[in-house]
Amino acid sequence: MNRNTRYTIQGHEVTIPVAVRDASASVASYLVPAAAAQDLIASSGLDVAEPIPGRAVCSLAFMRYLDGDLGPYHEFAVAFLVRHRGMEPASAVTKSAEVARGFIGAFIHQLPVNQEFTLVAGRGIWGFPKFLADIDVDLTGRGARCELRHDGEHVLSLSIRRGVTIPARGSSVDAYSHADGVLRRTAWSMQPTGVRGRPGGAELTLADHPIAKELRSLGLPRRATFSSTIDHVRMQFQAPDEL
Amino acid sequence: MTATPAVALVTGAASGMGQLAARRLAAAGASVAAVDVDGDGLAATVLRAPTMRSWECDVTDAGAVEQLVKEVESAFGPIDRLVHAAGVCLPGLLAEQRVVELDRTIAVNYLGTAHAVLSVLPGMLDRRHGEVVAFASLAGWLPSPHLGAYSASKHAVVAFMEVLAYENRGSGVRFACVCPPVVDTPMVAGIRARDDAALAGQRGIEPGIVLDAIERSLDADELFVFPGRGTKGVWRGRRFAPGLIWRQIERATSRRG
Repeated sequence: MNRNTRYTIQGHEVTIPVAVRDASASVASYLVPAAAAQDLIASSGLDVAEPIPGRAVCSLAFMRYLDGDLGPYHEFAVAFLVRHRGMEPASAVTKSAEVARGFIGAFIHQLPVNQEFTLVAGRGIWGFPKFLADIDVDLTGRGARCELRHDGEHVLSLSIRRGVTIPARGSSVDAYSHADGVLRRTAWSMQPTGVRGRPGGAELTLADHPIAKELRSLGLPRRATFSSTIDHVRMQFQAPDEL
Repeated sequence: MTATPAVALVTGAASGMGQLAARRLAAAGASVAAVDVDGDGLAATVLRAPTMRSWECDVTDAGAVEQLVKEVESAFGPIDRLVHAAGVCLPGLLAEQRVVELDRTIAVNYLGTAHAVLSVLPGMLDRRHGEVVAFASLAGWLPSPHLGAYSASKHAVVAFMEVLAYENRGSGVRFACVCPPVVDTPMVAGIRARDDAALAGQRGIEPGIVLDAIERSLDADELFVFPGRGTKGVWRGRRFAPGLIWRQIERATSRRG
């Protein structure tokens, strides 16, 4: 496959793989009704993964990037676990087994960022659904807090309490994105350290912004299935495949 | 949580604590003036950070610092936060230390702090708003063998910041004097390379822990910041049982031969 290995973004040459050398992440994952989740991502042509029949996984994450090829910035992500593109329709048991084996991807549904360079790079290279927003991230206390505002309007607040230390291990996942009618798949690997997690542990407040309304359509806010904080994570993003 | 400052000036921004402070502020959306004498390091700090700009400036030059503050304020607007992290550490036994090294340590660590702080302060006092963060060190309370020059310069910073905060209490300006133990930074790697005995085998704490502690102190309007577990205990020990601290230092250094 003929892939780009370098891109020019705002006069800077960005080479593949794009590396993040230091970032912090806080994630809350929710089991939500699969039909409602499927409605939100229908235009991508992907199917949500169903670890439990009728239930999909929606993750809300906020990130602070400090040292990386796209500069320092804050980011908020709304993502869904999805079945890989091109998988045959399957029984509930098979679909649940796909999740258990980790044979799934992550569809990036919303990805507000607070800096221009990463906005242009993320849209231009991978078709990530980045847009500019105000994202306050506070990691100084015993937990992590994030407040998301868009066009001066409050969207949501998310607090994540610290859990117990859990073993950190590297992982790779295919990230799917859908922009201008094109579906892309990007190999994304990460090596975290300082990982803590717990069941529940997240507090979400939703305002009236369209993104908040989307999340309400999934039955949020509700108890998180699992939440985690990652003190440091290194990541690498390959060039996307257009599907 | 304190609001992210709109405009910040960070010295020592080419590496270590200053670089991390600058990146955190820029990530949060602040306009950041990244200042250092190391142009290559600055270029790495501001790379692809649209809200950061670098200035090469030597904090030992009072006139240059004053000019710098004018330039930064005309580019970005009034400075809401100063993070003064520029510093040097030239370890060695005092009896063997060259006078130029003592001079340089005082010039960068103490006078550099005074120059930076006094250049931003008048504007902050006029606006009745601002945050002044200056890096001293736990060595600014605890005289340490092989770190005499450094320790003396940081004692001066502690005294300077304490008087300054007292004289400007109720002014609307907040002060933080940061007194970390050994932190895992390029400066400490430099000390280790030059005179390993100076660190007595201490492992450094993570720089992020220091910056988190600064934010909490600014929130609480507390002057002295003692990041890291046990740091405040060591500080208390020095104040109330100085003999005990010296015995511990002796044990730590003799254990290493």
